Amino acid sequence: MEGHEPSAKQKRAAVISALVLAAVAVGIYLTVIAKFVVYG
Amino acid sequence: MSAATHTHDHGHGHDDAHDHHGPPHGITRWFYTTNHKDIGTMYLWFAFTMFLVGGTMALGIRAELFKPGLQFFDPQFFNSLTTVHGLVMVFGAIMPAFVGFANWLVPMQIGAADMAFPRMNNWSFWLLIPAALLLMGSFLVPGGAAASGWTLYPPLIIQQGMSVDMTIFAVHILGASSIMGSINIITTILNMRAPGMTLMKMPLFVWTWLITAYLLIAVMPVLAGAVTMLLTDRHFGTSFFNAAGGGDPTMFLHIFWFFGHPEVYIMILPAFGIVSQILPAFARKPLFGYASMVYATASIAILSFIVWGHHMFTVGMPAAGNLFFMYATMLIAVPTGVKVFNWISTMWKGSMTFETPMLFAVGFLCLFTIGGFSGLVLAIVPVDITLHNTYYVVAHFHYVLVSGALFAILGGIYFWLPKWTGHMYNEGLGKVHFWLSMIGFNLAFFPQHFLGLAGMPRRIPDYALQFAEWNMWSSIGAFVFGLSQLLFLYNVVSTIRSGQKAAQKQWEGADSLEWTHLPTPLPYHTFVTAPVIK
Repeated sequence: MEGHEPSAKQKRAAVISALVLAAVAVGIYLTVIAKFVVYG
Repeated sequence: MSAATHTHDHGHGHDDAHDHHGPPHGITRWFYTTNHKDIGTMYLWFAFTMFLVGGTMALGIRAELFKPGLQFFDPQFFNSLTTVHGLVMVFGAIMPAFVGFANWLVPMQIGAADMAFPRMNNWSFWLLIPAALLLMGSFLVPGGAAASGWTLYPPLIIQQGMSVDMTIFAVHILGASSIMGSINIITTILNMRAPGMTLMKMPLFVWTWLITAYLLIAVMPVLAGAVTMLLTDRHFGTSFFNAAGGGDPTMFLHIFWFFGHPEVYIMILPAFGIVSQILPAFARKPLFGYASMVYATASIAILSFIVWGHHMFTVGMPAAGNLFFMYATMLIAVPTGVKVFNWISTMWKGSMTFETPMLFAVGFLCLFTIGGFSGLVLAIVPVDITLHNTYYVVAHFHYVLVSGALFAILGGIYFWLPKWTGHMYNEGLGKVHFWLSMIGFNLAFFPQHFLGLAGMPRRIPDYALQFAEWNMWSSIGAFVFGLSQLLFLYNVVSTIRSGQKAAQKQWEGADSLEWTHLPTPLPYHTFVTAPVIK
């Protein structure tokens, strides 16, 4: 028997958290590059 | 206050009985596994392998520096050794080791069945393998491996051969792996905690990793951006950092160290968490000042974003800039001092015993504090201008990262090995390992303070005769330290194969969920029903 399953609410919250964090990471990466492309 | 005093054994005495199926057999278990324990094990073995690889490079460096003159390597190869040694130890050994601890411990310490995204967890680990192969394979291409130092400074890095491209690609992959791992850790901690496990009941190790994961998400993309721009400077005609095209090499330093200084705390905050679990267990007292430890950890993380300039006092920043970075750096001593005070207060009047994990934790406390103090010395602008790029800096960061991060890792492995494997390690051998490490480490790195103060520059294969004696002792110490790690390997392997059976709660004072709620050895799947934390 596997460990207890997270509830649907937990799964939904986890996916939303992950998407937000991934967007933050991609945003920082693009901002660093865009800053130097635009302003040198 | 940690969770333990609020918990009782709730519905977990049957984990053994419910563990109907164990792990799959054969090599596919490791390729396809989504089990946090399996993935934690793979991270730890990968980190130890890379530790041996990076350690072998370090011994090559110390063999070359045993006496003046060129002994074994030409200067280019020597610089490649120092560069890849740094990259391997930072990205291949220390960071993956802490991720291994996080995988093993975070779900169990918050009462979760596994990480929030088990498949992404598997992917995060397996990305490390091609990155490591790229990094090591870069030695085999024409021109040899990158030789600019682990900081990859231009213009040197722009001028080298294809090994630099392999290094840049490896850094990108390692960064992606770290970010995915961090997303997993944050989402797990924020969303998968057992009922009643509030944030302020979490063990300090979980807290330090939560904060570390935020740091990683904030700064790894900055490093990725910097190395992407290096790549376009090398191959696509841009001049971000190329002075010949109107770019600014100093700008790379700013971007790199905006990543680089938080990176130092990424490598030390989880060590703080491990030590904060070991010291109370062997002092048989609750951790002193739990809430202040959490706030101090967060303060250190926040301050780490405003001190990057102390790595570049010599580049010609305005005096006001130098002063800002100097005072901001000194400010970090306040929350760090809170932590050291709390650790000492935890031990104060405790019923202490000194098993191997405790020895490493106390060793960490003494030696990391020395590394912290030498950091304060280097924070002083006029002193740093004198000591910049000398062996004093090398001594400082090895006191922080070896006797800090690595000692905490070793202590943590001895601490949790009985729980992980179900077997007790050889205590006598563990103590011999500790004392050889302690003596070897200090013999290797304390003299480097003297060498730096006397003016010996870092990253050189040859040196003036006046530095000969301390270099000889440093090399002897390095070999004692390095070879003593083979004892550790032997101890771990013999524990797994034939160690005596460990108790459920091997350490009397250990109080987090894995000790109080789960059997030893751990079943493949833990927490069949979620524990309720009171």
